Amino acid sequence: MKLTVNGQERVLEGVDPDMPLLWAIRDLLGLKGTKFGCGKALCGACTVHLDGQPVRSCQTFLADVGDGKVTTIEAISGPVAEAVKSAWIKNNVPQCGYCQSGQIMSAVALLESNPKPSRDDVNSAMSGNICRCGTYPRIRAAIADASKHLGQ
Amino acid sequence: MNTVETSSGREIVGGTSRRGFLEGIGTTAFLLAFQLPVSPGRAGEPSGVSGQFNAFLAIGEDDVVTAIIAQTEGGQGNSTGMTQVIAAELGAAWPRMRYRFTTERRPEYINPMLYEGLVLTAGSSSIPGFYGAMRRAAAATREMLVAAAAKQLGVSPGDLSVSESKVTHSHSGRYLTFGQLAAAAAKEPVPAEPRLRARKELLLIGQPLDRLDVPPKVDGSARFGLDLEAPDMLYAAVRHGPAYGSTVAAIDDAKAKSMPGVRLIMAVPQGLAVVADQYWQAVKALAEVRETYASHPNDNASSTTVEAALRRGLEQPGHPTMGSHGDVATAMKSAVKVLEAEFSMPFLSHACMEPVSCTARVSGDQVELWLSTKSPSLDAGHAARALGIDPSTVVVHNEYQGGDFGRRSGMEHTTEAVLLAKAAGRPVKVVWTREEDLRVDQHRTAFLGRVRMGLGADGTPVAYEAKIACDGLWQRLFPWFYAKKKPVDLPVFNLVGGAYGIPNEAGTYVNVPLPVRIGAFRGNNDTHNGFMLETMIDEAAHATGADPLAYRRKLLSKDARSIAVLDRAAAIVGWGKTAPGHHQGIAYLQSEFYRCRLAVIAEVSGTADALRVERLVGVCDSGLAINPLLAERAVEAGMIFGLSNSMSERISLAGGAPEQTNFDTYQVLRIDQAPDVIVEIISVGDEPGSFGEVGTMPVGTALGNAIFSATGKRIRTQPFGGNGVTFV
Repeated sequence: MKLTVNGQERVLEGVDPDMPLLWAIRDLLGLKGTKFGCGKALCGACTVHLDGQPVRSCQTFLADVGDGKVTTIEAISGPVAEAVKSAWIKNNVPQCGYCQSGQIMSAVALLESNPKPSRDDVNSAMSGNICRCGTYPRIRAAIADASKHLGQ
Repeated sequence: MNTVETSSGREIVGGTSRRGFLEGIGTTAFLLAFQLPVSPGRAGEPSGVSGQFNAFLAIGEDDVVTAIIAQTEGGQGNSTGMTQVIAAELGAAWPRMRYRFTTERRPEYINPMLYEGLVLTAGSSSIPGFYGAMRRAAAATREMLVAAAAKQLGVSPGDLSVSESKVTHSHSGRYLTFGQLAAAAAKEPVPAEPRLRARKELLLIGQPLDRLDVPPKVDGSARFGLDLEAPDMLYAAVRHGPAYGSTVAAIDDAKAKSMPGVRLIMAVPQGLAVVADQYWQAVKALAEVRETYASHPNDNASSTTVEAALRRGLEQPGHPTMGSHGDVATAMKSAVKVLEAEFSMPFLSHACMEPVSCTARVSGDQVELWLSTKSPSLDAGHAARALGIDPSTVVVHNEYQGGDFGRRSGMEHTTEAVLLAKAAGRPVKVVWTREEDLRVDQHRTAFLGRVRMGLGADGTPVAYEAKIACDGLWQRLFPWFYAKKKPVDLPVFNLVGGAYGIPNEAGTYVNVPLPVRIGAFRGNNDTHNGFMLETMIDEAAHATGADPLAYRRKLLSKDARSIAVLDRAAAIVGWGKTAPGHHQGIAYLQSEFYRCRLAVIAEVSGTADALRVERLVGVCDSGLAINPLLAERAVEAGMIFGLSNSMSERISLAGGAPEQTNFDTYQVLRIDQAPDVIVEIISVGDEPGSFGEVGTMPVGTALGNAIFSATGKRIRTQPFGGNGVTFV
């Protein structure tokens, strides 16, 4: 089975097509930045991009990925991603940090499709990503900062 | 380490001070060593840090100063704060500071504030507990650098000053960098009593410096326990029995054992594990195993039986708690009004975003663990007990933790990992699903309390009587220690005898053993005891026609610091000047243990059927704030955590088992219901206090008081959502 992750085509031998993309990324490819949180697409910690769209990798199965291009936190790039990561750093967003890969992947996807999101847009787009530490006000501030930066 | 030193010079109020708490704890080292195999030995450090001067820091020839952090980072920011303390006392340039974690169990790392004898991160004690020791270590190093520089420059040590990672000769301007001096300085005698810098010389203290752990948490490179790997390891999926304490009676693994990658299927103390080459293979095979569990007394436990047990508990005589004073019976008789109420709170799960995991390697008498842990002492002890070995041989690896909130000490998962690794003959990583993580937590205790407050002619309280029934953290996590302290347990602290100075108070604690595992939980006793007191104070204010803020100001009028946090919070929120349709509620926390005074105001809008939390304001004085940014964020996060707890979180039981198994049923706060939060820190004095947990304690009560303002409903059962209001 072939999998394109972060621009590289990887061959996975003898892998169960039912395996969630999450475990292939983490355990077979060794990319640990994508996190396991709930296994049921309820928390967003495992969010990656599949052909630029945010997906929960714990409920995305290898058989369904096909030729899709997977991007993880380790390789997310471009002006929007850079603006988001810079805003995350400037706002000191993370606390424990475990959910933040998923938060950033969701935030990048939001701003790629909606460069000037309203507060409701942000709340709606980010409500699938739980942060147990409660960094939500900082996530909102960082997205606003990134949006402002991108608009300049 | 000397606990008296930590609490010396502190004002002691009532029976709930830090000193009172310490006296309540006493010395546990012997009992711990006897009951749980905990070793103070040096195990756990695969390699030292080059240029290490002492337990707390190392200096490299490249001028980099590395703070060595034995307290664990679960998001609270202590790694940055502790690094800041080292840099300030040493005189290091902040850009040249780094930190690294250690799991070494050497005496310097034993927590001086809690449960003596353990390397343990708990009770918001990292900074207050290690402030003195870190400063002494850094000051000693600074004097060694000065001594070396004096020799090299041929000048008197008294003519040298230390700043920006340089030792400078004041008259000539000549200087040597820390890196140039490190090797020679390390050979200087270690001063026994180094001079600590005066507050005004500690230039980095009080600076809102950026967190050092942000970049690796933004680019995905930070490593958590679940990310750590052992060479050649296998993976295990586990399922636990329905009730706490369940044990497997029979296993049907006919289908599962021949599935791809499966190496081992075996019972573990409370359930069943499948070990396979890949985690997904283990998960898939586990789904095909059918096991039965031996009957267990907890099988019949339900929320109904728990409530009944707590209610029966309240009818028991119980034990009087510290802080009781005066003559409550007489004072109640003289009261012009007596308010009575009952309060309850459910079990909660921590729901750390990083589910529980542990990787173990067991090779003869060599054992290594990789996991997120708040205490390498405890986890080495659990592993050693399971294997019947000396805990000092157990090496523990720990980096960042994906949340803690009181969760991260691993009896079950550590035990499972070492037993499976031993049986498999290869390293094994045990990964719990979210379902197991929520169900087999060390839950916050469920709680039932009954109070009476008598009001005098002037409307202020003349008597307060509080009786609580719940389970005890010490009894459940440290039974050997509880055996010594019985009946004192954590729930009794701050039950009565608090800051309001009520002239007659009587607290009573009834321990009710509950049918799930109970453990530490952010806020602990102060959350439930404060829920009762601060709600009753609010009720007293309303009953006497007083404004709830003014009522508290009147009771606390002798303490300027209390008034300061109350007034500042009121000013920020615009107390009493709400927008149309908005309503406010206030709660106050004062804790000598945390050195904290905190006023929290919650503002809500809407109706009981559609209530919205609009914003939270907190103003906190916990003494000296080493880093006001970290402090502000810690209080903010604590408030949001407590808000989530009180809005929607609940673990209910049926058939012995928690009914909430994932984030669809265990509902934690999401961004769309998260209010705006404003926190201000008032930094006072020279002694740092605690910020990590305090925000959690009063926020639920502030919300409850706001709900009363908005709806006229006095809800005394948490979570409020589903118990009288619906949040939108």
